[in-house]
Amino acid sequence: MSDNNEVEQSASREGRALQTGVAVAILAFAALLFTQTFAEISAFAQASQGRGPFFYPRFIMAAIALFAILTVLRPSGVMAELPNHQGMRMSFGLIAIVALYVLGLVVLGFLLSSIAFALITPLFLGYRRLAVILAVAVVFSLTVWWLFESVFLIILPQADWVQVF
Amino acid sequence: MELILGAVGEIVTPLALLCMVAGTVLGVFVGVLPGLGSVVGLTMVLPFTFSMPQVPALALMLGVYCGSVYGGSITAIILNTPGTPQSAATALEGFPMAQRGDADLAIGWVTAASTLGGLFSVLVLMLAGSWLATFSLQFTPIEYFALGLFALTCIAGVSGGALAPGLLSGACGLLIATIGADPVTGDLRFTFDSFELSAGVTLIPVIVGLFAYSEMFLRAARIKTTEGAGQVRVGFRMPPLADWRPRLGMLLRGSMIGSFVGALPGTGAATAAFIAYSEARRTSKRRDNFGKGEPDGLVACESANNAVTGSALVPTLALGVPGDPVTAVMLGALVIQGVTPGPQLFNQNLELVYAIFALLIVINLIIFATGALGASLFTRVLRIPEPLLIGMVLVVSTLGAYGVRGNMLDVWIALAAGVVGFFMRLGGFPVAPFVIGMVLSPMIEQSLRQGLLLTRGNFLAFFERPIAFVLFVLTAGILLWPLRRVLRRGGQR
Repeated sequence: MSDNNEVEQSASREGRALQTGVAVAILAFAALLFTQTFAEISAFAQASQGRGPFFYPRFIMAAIALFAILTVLRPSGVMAELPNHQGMRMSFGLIAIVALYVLGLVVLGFLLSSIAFALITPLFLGYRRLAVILAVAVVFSLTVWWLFESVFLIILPQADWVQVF
Repeated sequence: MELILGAVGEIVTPLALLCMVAGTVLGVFVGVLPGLGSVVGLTMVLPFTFSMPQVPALALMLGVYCGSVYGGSITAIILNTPGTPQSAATALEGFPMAQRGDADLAIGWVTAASTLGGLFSVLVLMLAGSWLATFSLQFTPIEYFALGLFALTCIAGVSGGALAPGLLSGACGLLIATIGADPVTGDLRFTFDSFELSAGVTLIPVIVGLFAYSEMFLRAARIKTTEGAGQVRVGFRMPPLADWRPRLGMLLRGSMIGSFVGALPGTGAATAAFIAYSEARRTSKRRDNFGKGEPDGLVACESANNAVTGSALVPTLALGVPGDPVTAVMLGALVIQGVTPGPQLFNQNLELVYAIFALLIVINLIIFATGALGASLFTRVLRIPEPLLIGMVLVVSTLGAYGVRGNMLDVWIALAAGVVGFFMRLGGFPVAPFVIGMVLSPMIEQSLRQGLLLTRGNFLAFFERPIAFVLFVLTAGILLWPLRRVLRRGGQR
């Protein structure tokens, strides 16, 4: 029982620390944008009764500062139990694979990169039935590619070096 | 009459019918799989609508929306794990019913109650949508400004349990939407000299990131590679008419609760289902059977959560103000289709509005047919291994982000939003206010600046307009509500 309590308290402590971290990151982002509000504005904007392009964003930034401080002072809300280290590794790994997939869309085009992505992702996530993975990756990617290119007539990202892909 | 016939003509085309059926079946599929939910389902089908005519595109979106709300109940009954949050209350009675061997009967109850609740909400949409659109014609920019603030505060206040993180999330959405050209002067804001950013950050990639990507990143952390959750196979059994008669009042009450709650910003089907369930438990003659598989509870919560689908569209269509992320995606889809929601939609494009009504009626009937014919099939969906599913959802979601403008920057924005959403959700920040903030930001900014022009820069004059004043008071009430506890604690000391 006491072990459970310790785990819950620890999760809660980590959750609160994460909430504080996110609030501080948002505040830093708003501060970065705030520095941009002193950029030169057009003569038309200067003449618009002082309600220039940065009038409204500055209000929002003030609100962000207020809510971020309130959140840091008193973290609250429904916090999910944080995944363990292995779980976090899986999440970060998947984020990295998606980033590579997005890069691959530019370099390889939609079809090749999607087949590769649909092959690698289940393997990375621990699914080991290779025949199933291969069949799903090829059939699914080809179907989506055909639907968009031939039925919906939407041009998907293409590699410069092979026009078909 | 001419309009009704025109609307029927619009939806009785092979493509529209195909989209209705495909959308509903896909929606039930998405609803059955725990954790995916309506927003992920909608973002997945969004890219397929880009090149479609208006009515089939809406048929697909509405089918997924209504189907997903219903689909979650199948998993709630079979596995005691709601497929979507909207069906959490269904598990309370559905699972005990399944345990005693009546899962097919439970599916029969929820299918019929969902259909009737959904049809009731279409009636509400037809009546309230037109009325609200006519009423809102008196709105000046000042009322729209007050309405935007009120809607955002509501959503921030109720969607995550705590006000400050919700408001912070909403304010982030407001700020992100200001990136790009200023709508009044045309000056560029926060573009960091990037030409691509001068057109601003569009809504759909952010929704894809915050909901679809972040959900998959979270799932990866708790991945299960085993199959077998869906080994149970159940069918469909319609409850006898004699069992319906004593429950018609419950059905009507659940539908009314769902329709009312659905029209309020930030509440949604899960809230409606729990309110209807509590009310049924309080008033039912068979209240002693609650928790043991009482159909009263199923009828109440399923009619309520499906009654939300139509009424949630009331503020979206009549005012252009979405009440939750699901209707925000619907709004985004409408805009992509060249439709501008708001009072003018009801004045200038009434045929499309009637087509939406007709679509919702037919889709609710399709839900019944889908449940009756395919209940056993949908339980097999649960056998799809999660790693395969994650890969497929990510590919289609990526297309959703790319397809809006055919722009790779949008895919990178979706990925960034996915990472932000991942950390926000782990840190207890609700992401719904972020999306609603992005949707409402242009309206709030333009109405604020136009209002200041009208009042010659006097903000206090905003409070002289009665409707705006009421909305400001309600907004202040929501913001100050948490202080009540602090004051009470102070008083006790």
